[in-house]
Amino acid sequence: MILDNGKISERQGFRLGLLENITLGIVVVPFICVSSAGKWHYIAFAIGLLFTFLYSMVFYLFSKAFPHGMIEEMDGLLGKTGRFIDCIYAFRYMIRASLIILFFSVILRAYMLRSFNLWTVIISFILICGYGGARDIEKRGRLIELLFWWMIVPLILVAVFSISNVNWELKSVGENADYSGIFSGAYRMLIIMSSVETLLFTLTKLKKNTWSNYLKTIIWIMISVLFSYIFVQGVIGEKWVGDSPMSALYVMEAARFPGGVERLDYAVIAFWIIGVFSVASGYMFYAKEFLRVAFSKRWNSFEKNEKGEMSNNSIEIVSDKWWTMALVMLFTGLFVWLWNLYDVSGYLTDYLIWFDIALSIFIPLLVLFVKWRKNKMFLTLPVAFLLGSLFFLTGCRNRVDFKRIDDRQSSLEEMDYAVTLSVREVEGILNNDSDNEGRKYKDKIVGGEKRVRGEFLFDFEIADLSDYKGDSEELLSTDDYECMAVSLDDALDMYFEARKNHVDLGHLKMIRLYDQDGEIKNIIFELKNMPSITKSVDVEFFYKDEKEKIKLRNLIKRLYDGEKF
Amino acid sequence: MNNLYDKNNRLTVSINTSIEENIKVLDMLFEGCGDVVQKSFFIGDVSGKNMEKRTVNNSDNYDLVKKIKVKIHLIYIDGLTDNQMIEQTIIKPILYEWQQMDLNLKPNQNNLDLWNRIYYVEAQTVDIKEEASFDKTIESVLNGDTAMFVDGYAKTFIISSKKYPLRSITENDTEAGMRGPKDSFNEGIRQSTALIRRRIKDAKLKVEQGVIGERSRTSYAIMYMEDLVKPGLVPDIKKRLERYEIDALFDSGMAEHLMDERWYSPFPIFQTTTRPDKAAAGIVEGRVVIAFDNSPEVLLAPCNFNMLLQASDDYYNRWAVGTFARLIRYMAAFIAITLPGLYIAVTVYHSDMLPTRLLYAIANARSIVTFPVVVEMLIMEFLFELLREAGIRLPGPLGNTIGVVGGLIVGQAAVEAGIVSTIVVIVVALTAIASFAIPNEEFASVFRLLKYFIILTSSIAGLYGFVMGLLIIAIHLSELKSFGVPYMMPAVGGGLKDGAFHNQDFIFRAPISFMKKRPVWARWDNWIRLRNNYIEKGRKKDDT
Repeated sequence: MILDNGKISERQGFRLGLLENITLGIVVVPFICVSSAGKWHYIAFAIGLLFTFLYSMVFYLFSKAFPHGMIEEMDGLLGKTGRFIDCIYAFRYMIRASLIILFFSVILRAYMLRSFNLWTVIISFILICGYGGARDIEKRGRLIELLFWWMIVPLILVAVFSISNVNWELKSVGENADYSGIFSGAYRMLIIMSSVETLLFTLTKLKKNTWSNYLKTIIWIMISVLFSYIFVQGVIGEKWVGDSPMSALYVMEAARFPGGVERLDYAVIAFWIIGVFSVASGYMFYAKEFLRVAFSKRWNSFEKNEKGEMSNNSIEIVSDKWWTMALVMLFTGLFVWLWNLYDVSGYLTDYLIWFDIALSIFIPLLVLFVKWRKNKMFLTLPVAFLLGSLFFLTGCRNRVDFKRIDDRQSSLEEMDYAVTLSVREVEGILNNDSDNEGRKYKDKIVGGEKRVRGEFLFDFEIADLSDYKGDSEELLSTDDYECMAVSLDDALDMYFEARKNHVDLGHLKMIRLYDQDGEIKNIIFELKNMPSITKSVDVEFFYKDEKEKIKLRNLIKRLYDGEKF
Repeated sequence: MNNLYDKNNRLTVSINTSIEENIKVLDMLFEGCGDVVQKSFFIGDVSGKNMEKRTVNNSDNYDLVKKIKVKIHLIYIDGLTDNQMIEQTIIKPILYEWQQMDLNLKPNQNNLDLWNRIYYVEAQTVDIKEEASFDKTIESVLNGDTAMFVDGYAKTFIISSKKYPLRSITENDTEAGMRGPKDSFNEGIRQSTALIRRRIKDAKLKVEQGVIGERSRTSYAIMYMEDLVKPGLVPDIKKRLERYEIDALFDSGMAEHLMDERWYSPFPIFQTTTRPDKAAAGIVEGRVVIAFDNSPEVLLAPCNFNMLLQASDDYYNRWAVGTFARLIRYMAAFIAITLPGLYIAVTVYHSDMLPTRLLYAIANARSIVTFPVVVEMLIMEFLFELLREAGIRLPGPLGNTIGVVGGLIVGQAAVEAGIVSTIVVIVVALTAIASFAIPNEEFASVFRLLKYFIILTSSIAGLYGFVMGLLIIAIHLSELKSFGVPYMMPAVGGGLKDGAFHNQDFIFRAPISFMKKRPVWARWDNWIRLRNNYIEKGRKKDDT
């Protein structure tokens, strides 16, 4: 009854545009720019933004040239060739969706579902994206409109609670890079932001496809990415950003509610799922839209009215079958598996970097050319090549480990909660090559003696909850456990062997690090890579006779600066 | 007997001109029905003379007056009919006053035949109508009307004489409010329409009546403002009502489910209310009310998620108070659906999120509990649902006792026995309180149901499962529509119609003086519902 005509409102269009295009950008763009352009990353970012704007404007112009929607007009103009191109589009979007789903699932497993097999996460996510993308554009518009604040509010909360963490004094400067690095960074940023291509479809579905609607969407996309970019740099520093594609997640980790929830990152990642869902389900939705047209049995092409203009009166929506989305889900799953294979993922990456963007502009241009020439043109494309490429799959190696990555999960009351963790680098003469359990030590020769290298004394102070009456942490009685190990991971295993309980490090109040000759940095890196340890925890850092109190986050930044320990 | 009916349970016989034939049919139809009252009378000259000369107005003029002797037959259902009214308005005038009235007839009235004479002169009631169908006649009798067969005529008189045994209009106990009218609908359809008509004294308020149910023949009334309702809405409702032929329809709830195309959805697409003020407010917003006989709850369409969290008090209190109450209700709805799932997700998978002291407290409390968190939660939820169901089925005071006994004694014993922990009792209790804050009971039940879905997804995959569960619900909600109106409006559908100000009646309830336009589902050519006389007439505000 209300706008039941396959169109979406301006607000829906704006929210679709924003959610489908910022989710990846805010997380990955800082890493892309810094890792490619080093200390010139700001320039790379600025050029990348300009590229993104120009790229999106191309699609705005296309949307004006195809007022009834490119999918519909293409099939009217090109007939069977159009259907073939539909399939190409569908595969393009399924490849993109699969990459995003794999990337997201890996992050999710690392942070939240360490005891899960990766396939469990991937399949469940594909299913939910399929369910969300199986509707028409009106329903999709309503869905994204509804989910918009679910993602934006947590992001705003992260920003608010992270402001105190921004510290420009500790800014670490990246490496020098040549000019090619700048342009490489900008171009790679464009690839990440190339999802703005979907504006072509959302703009044509708007009630009124105006310049101001487009401008509002693209400007907010750019502002969001810019804001995230500056924020991430300010909180964790350039070098750390350049070292990890998950740098934005470290910002989330560092954010804390004052006096409330201990860690915000889980909640934010949980709601970031919604953003990823918007992008992946969007690609799957568009893939489905192309496929349903490609495999339709009845299709009426556009008719021209007396003035020679296209009219959509004769459009007949056809073949909205359940299997269209089932097919999309199946192929997306297949592509996730292909991304996992070393050799194939190389091809797919090359395709995305060098071919996909060109294709995204070339095809609409071609259709536009046919439209302007007002005659049909038969196109032949190498189907056999695409089919033949499947033979490359045989014998490829796995890229991603799909198994669970952490078995240290048990129920809440069966965990031991560490209040403080002390790590002391041990140095001494090495008598044996291995400890009692057969673990090999690394060694080094110092002053002609073979000395212990890379071994640490770990001391866990465990909260004694046997007669806990709500006392504060200071009054809590603790129980110590000491062990010698080469890494924290090893120490945790030894703890379990000794006490049959896992240690929870999520509520550490203090970490004490004693540095002797710089090897402690291995522990700091381990702490960085351990999602269960909040990066806001206080660290007492002892170096010879000096003692310094510092946040773990800032200690890691200093480590990236190359400061000697 | 069966050959009197067709496959749709409609009578196939017609009314015969011979009253004896009609009586035979009636005897067959109501054989074994002790509550059916039938009586035949003779009217007119029982002596048998056909003609008589009489003076007219005591003058010398003579007129031939037709003296008749005709058999009439009355039928009604005892208990559904006002016997006294029938005697006073039908039987007495026709039987006892016939002769005098006949003598006093004016000349031009002599031309009236017997049928019209009864209709226009003798019957002392306004609510009398002719009926030519036997089926409709019987339907009327079963509805509490009285049917009068007259020999020689293949039609009947239907005299409205309904007097159902009904509850009186009582104070509303299911949608109670602090401010505003306290009356509520009862089971009589006429009372329902009257309570609404009393609030909207406008001839444009239309009441279209019909019958549904092959055997129950339940009356329904579709009420709407002719100039406010969106074109197509009323025909759509009628079409949905006529889609099925059902044996019997005993409550509006059954009709609601019949009209709902998405049978698999737990969310209602109608708003139900027992409050006449809420129904009337809906009508002046361009919505349609459907009242059913024997049902104290009327249906309102279209409906959306937001409406189901609104209460009448919101409009009667000041805007800030109304807004705050709505905010509380939205939060309550969120808690009702998510809290147990969130508790499971955080304690089982992401205990890092908890404040340290709370974590220690939970760990300490759980140390004596035998079951895993999920089982513990399900036990407590099941216990609560059991108490709720038992409380409803038992009579008032006993129901309250069950609540107290269950909540305090069983809960305490369960904690001490190590079956559940104290924190879980708090979580379940808070969830229950939150669900009671939802003003619509039917809607609250949906939240109670979906809570288990979120518990399931959270148990499987922690916060990821929790968000996935919410996402599935959101996807479902976003595809729902109630008679063309998106279910999640105004959270979705913003800007669908230029100039629509539906956000004024969302979580934030704007001051009444700001709500100048009707909602988006009203007719677009009749949007203005509030005018400022001083500004409209070009006067200054100070002129007041």
